[in-house]
Amino acid sequence: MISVVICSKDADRYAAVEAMYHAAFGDEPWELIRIPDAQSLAEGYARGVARAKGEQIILSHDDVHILSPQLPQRVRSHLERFDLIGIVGTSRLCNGRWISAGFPYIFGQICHFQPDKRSIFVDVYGAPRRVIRNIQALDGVFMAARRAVFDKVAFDAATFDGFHLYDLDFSYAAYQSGLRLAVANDINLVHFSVGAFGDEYTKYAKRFEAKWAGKLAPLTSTEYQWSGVLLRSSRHALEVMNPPYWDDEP
Amino acid sequence: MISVIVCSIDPVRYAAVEATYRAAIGNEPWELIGIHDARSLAEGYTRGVARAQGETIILSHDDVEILSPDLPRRLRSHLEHFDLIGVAGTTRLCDGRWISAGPPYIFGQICHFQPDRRTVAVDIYNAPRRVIENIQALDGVFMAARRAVFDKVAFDAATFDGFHLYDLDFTFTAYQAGLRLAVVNDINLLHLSPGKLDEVWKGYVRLFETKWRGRLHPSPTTWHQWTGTVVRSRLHALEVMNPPYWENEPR
Repeated sequence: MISVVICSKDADRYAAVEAMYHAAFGDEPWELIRIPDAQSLAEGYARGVARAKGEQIILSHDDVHILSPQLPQRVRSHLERFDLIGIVGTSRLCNGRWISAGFPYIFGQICHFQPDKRSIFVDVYGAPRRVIRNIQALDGVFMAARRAVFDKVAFDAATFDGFHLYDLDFSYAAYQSGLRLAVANDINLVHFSVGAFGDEYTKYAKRFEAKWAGKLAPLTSTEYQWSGVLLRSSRHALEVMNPPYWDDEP
Repeated sequence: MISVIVCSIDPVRYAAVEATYRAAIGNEPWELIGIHDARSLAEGYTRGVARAQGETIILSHDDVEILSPDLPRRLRSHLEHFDLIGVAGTTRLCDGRWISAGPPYIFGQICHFQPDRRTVAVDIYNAPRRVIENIQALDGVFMAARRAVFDKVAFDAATFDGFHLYDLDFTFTAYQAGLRLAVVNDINLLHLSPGKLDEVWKGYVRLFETKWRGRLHPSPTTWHQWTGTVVRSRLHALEVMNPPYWENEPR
């Protein structure tokens, strides 16, 4: 069974994400654990994981829509080879933003609707393969792990007592303890909000950088952009996010 | 032998490009054919190819610097599998710009100096593999072909009688004729000038799109950007352009 843990205090969002996961799992056995009153995401996920019965556990934001077919099969397949997966992350963590290392160390892809709610923008941080291994840290919009990961690594709810950096800290702690992390480029989703990088984010980034001082990689590039494409539909997005060159290696 | 054909009206540029190829080709037998009075790039390259003795023919702009080591070995290796290769191109040609299809149909990578002339901007259209097959059209900044390609495909100097679109037309013709085209991401170069997309260029785009009407794909996107990064040196550019995941990743 796969457990999905979601921290959500918004009834409408929760209903939408519940319906979406219900459709994504189909006849597969799964459970949804809602934490409606999380003091922080670290605290909420820790509480959710303690209640979860599944052998695989998904930690998901409440404002996503999975586009990919075969979600449970893909999650299980990736978790046969890896302990912890996500959809975006880095193979070289430099500071409190996973994206700071730039090319060729950032991986994954994610969609956002444009303000007109019809066209869709796909950010492609790096998707040279279906699966990217040797990942050091993951974004928390969607992560999935083997149950055993949570026996080895805990969320640091004391340091990350808000809604930022819990994800980098948890995944980087997993990497530092020798677990195998990956970015799965064949799990594609729309995120209905974009990240907020204001003062609150900066406060937790400083905490993160103090906690992991001495372990983070030096920055090599400060000017970069990643690939992105504006498309007319989620069908086009799936086509772009699952390129033929994954399968035609000469 | 490798024949390098360069159309150039600028002696300083020509001397620099001769030096870069001399260094890149090393002790291998090679020749440089300079065309200094080309009426168009299609006409100039045609004349150069007619004089070339090599089995491998490089068509190169005069404002490039080769960064990669082992150029002759890499060329030979790629031309064992492909007829015509380049450093940037597309698997889905939509119109008179090879880049129009956007990700994930555009491939290759190329460096330019930043305006400060010290830092280097690396444009990475996409480089998931060392070699990208099933290419439909290539940019002409650097192309290399087996000699036999020129027996099957000719430059259209009548239509493309200037300095634009000769490359897309030649390579798309080769693709349409069933030749095997590839973008090779392990031949890295610094292009010393950006392209000039002016009214003259637009005129040739219209000629191209008229010539190939019915063969071009609809574009899937209205806006896109590609990956890019600014680095401090040529060495750093080479590191970025040859990422570790080419070698050691499972699918």
